[in-house]
Amino acid sequence: MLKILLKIRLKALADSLFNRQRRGKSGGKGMKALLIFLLIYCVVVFGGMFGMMFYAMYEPFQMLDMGWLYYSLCGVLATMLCFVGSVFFTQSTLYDAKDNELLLSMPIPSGVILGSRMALLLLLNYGYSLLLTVACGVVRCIVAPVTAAGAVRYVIAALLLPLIPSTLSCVVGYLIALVISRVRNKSLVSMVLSLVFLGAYFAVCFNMQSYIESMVQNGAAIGAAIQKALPPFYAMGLALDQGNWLQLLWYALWCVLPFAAVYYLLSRSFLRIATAKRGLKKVKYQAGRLQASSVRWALTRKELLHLGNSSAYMLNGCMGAILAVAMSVLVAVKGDSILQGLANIYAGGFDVHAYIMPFACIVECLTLSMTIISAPSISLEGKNLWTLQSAPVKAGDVLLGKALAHMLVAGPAALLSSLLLALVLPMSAAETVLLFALPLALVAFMAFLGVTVNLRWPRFDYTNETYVIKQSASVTITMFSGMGLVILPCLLYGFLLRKTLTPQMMLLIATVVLAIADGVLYHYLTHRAEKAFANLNQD
Amino acid sequence: MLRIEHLTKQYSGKDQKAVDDLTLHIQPGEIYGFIGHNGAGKTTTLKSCAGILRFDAGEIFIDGISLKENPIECKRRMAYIPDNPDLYEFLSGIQYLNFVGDIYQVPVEDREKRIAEYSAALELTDDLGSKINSYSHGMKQKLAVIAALIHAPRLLMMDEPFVGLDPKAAHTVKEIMRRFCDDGGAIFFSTHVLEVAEKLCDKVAIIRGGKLVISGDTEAVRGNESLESVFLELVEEGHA
Repeated sequence: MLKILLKIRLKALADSLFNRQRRGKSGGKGMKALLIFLLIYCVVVFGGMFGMMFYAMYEPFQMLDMGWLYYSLCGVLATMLCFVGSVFFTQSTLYDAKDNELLLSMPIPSGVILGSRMALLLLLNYGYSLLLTVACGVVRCIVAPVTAAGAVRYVIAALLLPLIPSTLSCVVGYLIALVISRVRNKSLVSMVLSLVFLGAYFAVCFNMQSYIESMVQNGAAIGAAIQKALPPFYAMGLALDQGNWLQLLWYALWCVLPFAAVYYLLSRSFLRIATAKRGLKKVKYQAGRLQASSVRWALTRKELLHLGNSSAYMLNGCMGAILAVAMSVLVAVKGDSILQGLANIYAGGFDVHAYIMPFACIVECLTLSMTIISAPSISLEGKNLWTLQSAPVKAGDVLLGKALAHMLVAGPAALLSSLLLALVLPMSAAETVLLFALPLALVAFMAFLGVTVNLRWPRFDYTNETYVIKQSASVTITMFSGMGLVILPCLLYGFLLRKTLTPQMMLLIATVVLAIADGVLYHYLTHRAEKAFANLNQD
Repeated sequence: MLRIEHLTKQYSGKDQKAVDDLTLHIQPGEIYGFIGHNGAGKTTTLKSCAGILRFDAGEIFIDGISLKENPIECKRRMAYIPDNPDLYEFLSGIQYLNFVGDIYQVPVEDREKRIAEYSAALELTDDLGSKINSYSHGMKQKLAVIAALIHAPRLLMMDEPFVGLDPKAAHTVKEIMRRFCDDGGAIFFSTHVLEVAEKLCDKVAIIRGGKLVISGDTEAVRGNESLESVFLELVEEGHA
């Protein structure tokens, strides 16, 4: 039974990525190849990043006779990454799944339903943790000889590791579900909590170098602290560094027992959790004056209300806009020290100041390209699509409403970000204009592109909105296309055009090209997309 | 009001046509019941008439206007209520109704008056401030009925409109339907409840395997028998 449920969940997960709206119809080889390529790209980039980090820390810890800390840190970082990546997935999958009632009405033990969900969570965490454990293992193989027994111990430790963050996610996910069920503005609270987790994770990652330096300086004290506060990771470190099988057993117990305990406790209360009515507050209607608005604004406002009422949509859709503003605030606060640092690094080399504005603009654009509000917007119509298809509205208005909602969120973020950068960084008037124009052109492009891609690859047969917001083909393609669009001109400039163009001219060309692309996509959505919209969900 | 001429629809990957050469005429003032077994083609026909599904052959005219050539104008004159009222759950009831009012560009005074009238009749007024995700199936069905009437359409198409409604609400909806047609509107609705069709409909059509089997005045179709007997006989004939 567990196998069947797990198979169904994995199929749903794969379908959300590879299959188009028609049931059973594959998304095509090209689409699969593209998504596999993107996946490999992510693994290589993040794996490479983590690999460099491990490479930098191995030697110092060995010199301090604290080799175990190398593995312990890998465990801690993998746990953090898994936890941040899966805690909200846990909350929606374990405690808020839409198919609970259907499954509970079948002759399936509730423990098996819970088990299938926890197994899926575990698989997700394997995906995250392998990014670190593989990088850590590869670096270890490069820097020092490896014995067969050591390799076996490492594989066992890596296989057990995701149990720790899965346990944490289940517990914290439960607490989040409990908090969210008791507050009024669930989406906002959920988003703030997500940002806190993400912020804490990035803060740790960004400060890793200083932490390592601090560890090198105060090795013994920090080692003792980890030993005291994080015993499973200490045991993991000792087991792998010293080849201590007893510590490996101790670590295994730390991984397995809490996970089993959480499973046991949750399976006992799963029925109550799954059937609990959570905070659907009734508001008595007081008739007042209604506000009329245009068709286009009504459609746009509906999109904004959807965004504002879904924490998963808000967090994932607006992440780029939030990061763009956060990055600019950081520059505004630490601008002087950043500039001084750059001047020190490149003292006597090329003119740093000529690259400050282009670099800031590219970073802003890169973060903005992660805003994917419009990319799942057609799929999110789901079973409500009939409302728009039976309404006397042009497809162009519907699609433009979705793009406009994207622009109304990402546009102000882009403006604020550019304003902060323009106030802090030294730049000419022409550069300032470019700093505003390029991000705005990109925001419009991402808005139109998201709708266009989603029109081509929609999904309507999901059981949870999170699937289309986080894992659908349209979101993946849109986000990576946007990032590629920002990175490509940089590579072009760096490898081919550096000697013929100034970076500012390159940005100008990029702005013009994007503005033309905006016009083309706008024309397509408002004049040529009628048939594609009418063809949605015809089976 | 609604003229369906030789409507044919086949889903991709299916051997059989979902609707096969269906012709029906519905006049102003008529409540037209559409009866058939599960999978007979009722929902496909209604969705095609509502402009949701594209069809392969035939024509649909609403108030004399071709749905193929001028879908926007046709949709302005009609309203559709699906069998399962999937509505935007992130909106409150009143937000949804106002959204529909905006989409149909209904003057504020008219939408306020109609919302007040129909929500009072269906006893939904107090709940309009709550999010739709807190509504029961019946409440969503009531909201869908109010939303359908907000722009005073001339043609109302309803797919199983009484499913999920309590007896009182079902009675109110029947009254609203009758009044709507007495005022010159037309209703085309599908149902499995043959007693309702028998009592409420001026005309009925029975569909089997996508093909129209019989249509006409309710009295004429049932003759001396009950509509249920006629329907069962026709279904049996189809299986023979």
